[in-house]
Amino acid sequence: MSSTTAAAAHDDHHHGPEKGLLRWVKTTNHKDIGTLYMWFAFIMLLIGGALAMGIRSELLQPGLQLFEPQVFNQLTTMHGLIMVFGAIMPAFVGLANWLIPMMVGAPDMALPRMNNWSFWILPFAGAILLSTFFMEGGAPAFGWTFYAPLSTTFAPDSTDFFIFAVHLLGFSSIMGAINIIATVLNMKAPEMRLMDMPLFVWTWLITSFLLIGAMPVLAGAVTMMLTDRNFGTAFFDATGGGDPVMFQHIFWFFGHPEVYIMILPAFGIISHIIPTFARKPLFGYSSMVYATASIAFLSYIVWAHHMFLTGMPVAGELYFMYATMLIAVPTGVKVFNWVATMWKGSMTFETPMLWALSFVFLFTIGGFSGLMLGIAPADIQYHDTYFVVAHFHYVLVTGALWGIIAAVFYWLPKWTGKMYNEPLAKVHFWLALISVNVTFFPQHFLGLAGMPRRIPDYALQFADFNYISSIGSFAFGLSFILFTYIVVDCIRNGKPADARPWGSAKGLEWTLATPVAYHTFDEPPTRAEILAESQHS
Amino acid sequence: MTDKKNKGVARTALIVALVAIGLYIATIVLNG
Repeated sequence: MSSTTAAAAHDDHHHGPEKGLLRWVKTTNHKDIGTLYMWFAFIMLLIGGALAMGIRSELLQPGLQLFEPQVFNQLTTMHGLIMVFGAIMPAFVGLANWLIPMMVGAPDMALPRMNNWSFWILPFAGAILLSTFFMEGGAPAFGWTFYAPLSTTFAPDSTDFFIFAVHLLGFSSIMGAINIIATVLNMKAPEMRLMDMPLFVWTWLITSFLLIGAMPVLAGAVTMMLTDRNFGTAFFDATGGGDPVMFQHIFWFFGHPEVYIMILPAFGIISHIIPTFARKPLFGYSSMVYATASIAFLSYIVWAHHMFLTGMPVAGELYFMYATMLIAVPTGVKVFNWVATMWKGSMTFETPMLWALSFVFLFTIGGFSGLMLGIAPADIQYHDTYFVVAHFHYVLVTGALWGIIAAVFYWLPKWTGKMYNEPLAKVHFWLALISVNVTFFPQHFLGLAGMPRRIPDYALQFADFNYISSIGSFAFGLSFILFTYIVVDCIRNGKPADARPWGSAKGLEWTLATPVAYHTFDEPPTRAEILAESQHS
Repeated sequence: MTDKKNKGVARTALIVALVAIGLYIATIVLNG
């Protein structure tokens, strides 16, 4: 060991966190950065949620109530962008920061200073994105998919700020992915083999490769938008020899893997929670790993199922339709394995398990409606209707967000050293579960009846289901006030938690003292410790 | 051991970063 690294190791042993606000600005500790990511994501979730409340208030009744159509389009666009790039993705990176080093027996992330930088880009990118609301012409209003020429020729000036924000967010994500790949491949305990790694680590490793493949393509797309708008190029301008449909191909080449970037880590979380509360080892560990890798591979070759109506050759439609159907196979393997894990298990239903169980049901609904949308002839009717809105909210709210909330309740005792209020958390769960279904299930019917998405007004026959959906959304919004109270109450007043509050939980993170120390795994775990905590032991 | 690990981290990070930069450039060049 060189003298420099020896000195650094010495410092790590004896120094706790810096005092005051500067601790959070300068920190290179994975737990601090994980906490920063989680709180940032939560604030963005509340902002995105407030925009959703605006959308549903407008749609409570037919006719224009509160917003001009242009403002309504700004709300839907910014809601989507904030939730995808500001809430869901940073929340999963926060969980990765907190958990991956502890799960693989590493003292920290591989590149701690870059980790700090990855996070601190985000508040500035978020602020730039939000500032567009206050600019002349308003915020971007072309939908979160920002199709050209709406986002190039016909967009407000604030679009350049949006482009800058997306560049920054993408840069942050790529750095985060590099860090996770380097951590998992180089920093895991020497005695830990790849097939010993917990499922959350596996799903995040595969997600990182998706990020590396997808985010540069998004960056390329917005760079071309920038030059089309400001420097006279015509990448997406048909009058200059460009092709606006090519924008859609590039966007969805990023956009479809992006969907799996937001769901694969949730699969990993659920694969931890179900075995714990079923008191059985995870069924089919290796098939879970292979299924995750298969989903990731397939996600790169199905992008044009979002574009059936752009007029592609029938052979192309058939290929993208059948390739899309294939994704149901590895996803079905996962659902089967979760159910088989519960089969004849000694199940109990603490709050994390309730979220995990409802994830399996509700995500599967979202998966099935995705299959319906993937059928090219059927998509002619469903395309750009509320059926699509219902589908992706079942995937992203009751899938991705559900996974994040399940993870928060599951690992909160380890993070804080305190136990949350279990009865109140169950009340919150049932309130959220009922209200989320009241919000999004009727939207299937609206879509099938032909209500288009991204409209502030609608025909009278859609009034009843919209009314129900809006009432549900208000209750769902309120449930997050209760969630905030439960988390803050846990941090401030919670009873001390055991090192392994869920008796049957497996994983190296549970071997650490609670509350978990600022620096952990100065010595890597032994082979025996790894095997004892393995998910398939 | 630590030096060896540091080199591994640097090599992995560099390769992944180069792949990302290559994809970014390829997206623009192939569409040009």
